[in-house]
Amino acid sequence: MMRLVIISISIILIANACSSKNTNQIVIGSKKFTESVILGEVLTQYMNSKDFKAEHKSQLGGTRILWSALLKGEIDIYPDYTGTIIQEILSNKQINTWDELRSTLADFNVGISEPVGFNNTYAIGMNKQLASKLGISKISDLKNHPDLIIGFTNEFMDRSDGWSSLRSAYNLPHQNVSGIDHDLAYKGLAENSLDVIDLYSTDAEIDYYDLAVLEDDLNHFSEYRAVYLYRIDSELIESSIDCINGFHNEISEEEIRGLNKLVKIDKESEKSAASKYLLNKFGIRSSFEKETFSSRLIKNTYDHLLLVSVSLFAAILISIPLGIFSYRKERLGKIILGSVGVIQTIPSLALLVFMIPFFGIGEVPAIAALFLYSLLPIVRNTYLGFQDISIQVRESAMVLGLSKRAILKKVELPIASRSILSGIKTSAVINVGTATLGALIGAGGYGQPILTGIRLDNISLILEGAVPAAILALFVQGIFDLFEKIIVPKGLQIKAETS
Amino acid sequence: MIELRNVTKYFNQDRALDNISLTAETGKTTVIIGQSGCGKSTLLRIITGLTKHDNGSVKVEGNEITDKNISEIRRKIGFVIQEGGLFPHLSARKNISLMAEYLKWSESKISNRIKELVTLTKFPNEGLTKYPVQLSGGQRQRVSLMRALMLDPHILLLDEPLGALDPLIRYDLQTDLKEIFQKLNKTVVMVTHDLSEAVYFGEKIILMNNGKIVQSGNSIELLDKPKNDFVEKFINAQRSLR
Ligand SMILES: Nc1ncnc2c1ncn2[C@@H]1O[C@H](COP(=O)(O)OP(=O)(O)OP(=O)(O)O)[C@@H](O)[C@H]1O
Ligand SMILES: [Mg+2]
Repeated sequence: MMRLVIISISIILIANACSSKNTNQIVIGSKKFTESVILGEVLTQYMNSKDFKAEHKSQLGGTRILWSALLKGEIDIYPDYTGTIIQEILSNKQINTWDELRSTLADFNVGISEPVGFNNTYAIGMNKQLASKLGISKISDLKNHPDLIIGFTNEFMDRSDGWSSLRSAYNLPHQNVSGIDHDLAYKGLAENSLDVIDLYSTDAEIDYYDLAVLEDDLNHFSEYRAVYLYRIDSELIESSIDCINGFHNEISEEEIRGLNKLVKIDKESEKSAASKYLLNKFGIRSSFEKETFSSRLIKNTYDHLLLVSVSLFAAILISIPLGIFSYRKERLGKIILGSVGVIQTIPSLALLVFMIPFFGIGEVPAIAALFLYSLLPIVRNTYLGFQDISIQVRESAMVLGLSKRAILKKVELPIASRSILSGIKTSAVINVGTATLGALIGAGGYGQPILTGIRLDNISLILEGAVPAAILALFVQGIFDLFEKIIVPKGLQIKAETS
Repeated sequence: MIELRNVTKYFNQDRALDNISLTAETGKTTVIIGQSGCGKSTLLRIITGLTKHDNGSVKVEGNEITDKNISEIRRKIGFVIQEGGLFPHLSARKNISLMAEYLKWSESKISNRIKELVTLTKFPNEGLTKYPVQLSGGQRQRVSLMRALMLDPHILLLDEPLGALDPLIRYDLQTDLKEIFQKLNKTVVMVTHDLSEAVYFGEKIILMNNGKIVQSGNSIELLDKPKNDFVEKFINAQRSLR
């Protein structure tokens, strides 16, 4: 029975892996902010209209994730910005000219397209009203207002041209600086819980929230021209170079701000925004699959169940023997219990990111992280279940003359089954919740609409992920309560009833 | 027959058994008596290989026990342990038949044997489908006894089989046990700390103190010719309890 399940799951996995990386399929990635998704989508639809087979893996994460996915060949193309590439990806190289940039990237087997046109540079923004009240119009004006509460994106906090260098360049005294998600930052500004945020010069929100963009009077921020990065070791990509360069100086700052607004403010999908742009600009009628609520729900449910079931089954398979072993070998057991305990203390997001160097992006690293996360409850409950078996029962079994194996199968496992099962239940429920983070590294699932919903400030999209995730957790709980009735021997259930 | 020669057992620095030599004759009931902690259970555990002795020799039916032959020897021994140790997840019937099933006895052979045992131990038939938690203390000990007797072992070891029972049930079971021992004609070693029980069952009584054998013989010898002060004190203390 167990074997059958494992085999069928591996078949699904392999089938999945094959279908997602077809040989003549071009995979385009994008970062998890609207503009990147739009750029990814525009190129995808454009290529598809030129008879290439392109697929868009949208909102995969931040720069590091996309860059390593490109190097590993898990994606073929993704949009990025010259400033990001120079400051962040190639921060240890000296790059001053376009040619140097091109040749340095070539060392990584990565090509760079002609600039798409607009320059999306970092900028510092605040409420127009507040700014005029305090008389702030330039970044250097901030110096006189050390009490302002600042929320910067985590990426900006880390970048070499980010907060720390900005602080020293302008000699800024502020202490109240916290890392925050870009989309949450706008909300914080609107609700007055934040005074100053970093933003991109093409953000749709600038107009929408009526923000003042502070002048970079010391020319601190460098250029961030949008480009596409692509792999140069593939003939397929080579043959599509004209497509990739098809947007050379085509997309202006106004145009991209309009597209951003179409998605973020007018709540259109990136697909339809991209399609409108291609129609207006190039007269290309691109076809894109319209996602319906139910088709999204089915896909997300499938992805989510895949993540949860595969990682959970693997965890069960490993954890039960590990728990038994820990019980039998007291000293080694302590080490094992300690180590799985430590894994549990790693923040789930960090664990997900740790998996990327080993497994790239997508389902596999998410499953690996969820697997690690599921170990502790099962190992510990198996251990405790075995520990709870009375010495009399154990010795009775031995004295009867049963073999060790028979004792394990006929006595120990059945008696420990309740504890083991409740460990599995705990893992499963945690797993259903944690799997929503999988979307951050391109694993899909219920986290996908949540992620998009946060980005677009769209509550109904957030609920589209959160509600099914909660229902699934309850359902899993119910299933395991049922399992308990079936699997736990009746003699042990009677005891639970009377006590 | 069970033979112990110069058996010594230490737990860390503490000597639990000190140079014990004894013989339990085939077909006879040998009772080991002594105060709590004197080493009675340890003695039985050594005979079943649950505890390893440090020195001396332990022979069961002429064979020295070793790691190799211990499973084989265990199948010749029925062991009723102090607190019963029934498998909580199995019905009374399954508790009794577990080992026979493991040895692949046929279903009919198993039922026949259980029928015999139920009659022998006067266990209510409808109790067989119940689980340990649903049985009374006396019934549980009867199940424990049936489980020990299932494979028809030559040797029966009982560690305070009546210890946890209230007096009336205890009396009933005493009578039944004695009847069973006489009927079966097995080598029985029984542990108790109750002198009257020892006298009632024992064809041979071994009195222990502090890991040593103080006196052994039949009940008359023990009661009439106490070997030393300890034996006399032990007997008087037990009498005054009545
Ligand atoms: N596993 C063990 N580890 C350490 N000491 C032990 C162990 N088992 C028994 N002992 C010690 O050995 C001595 C004899 O114990 P044993 O259980 O044989 O006594 P007993 O005569 O059966 O007592 P009771 O009538 O209370 O059952 C005791 O002092 C006990 O503390
Ligand atoms: Mg004892």
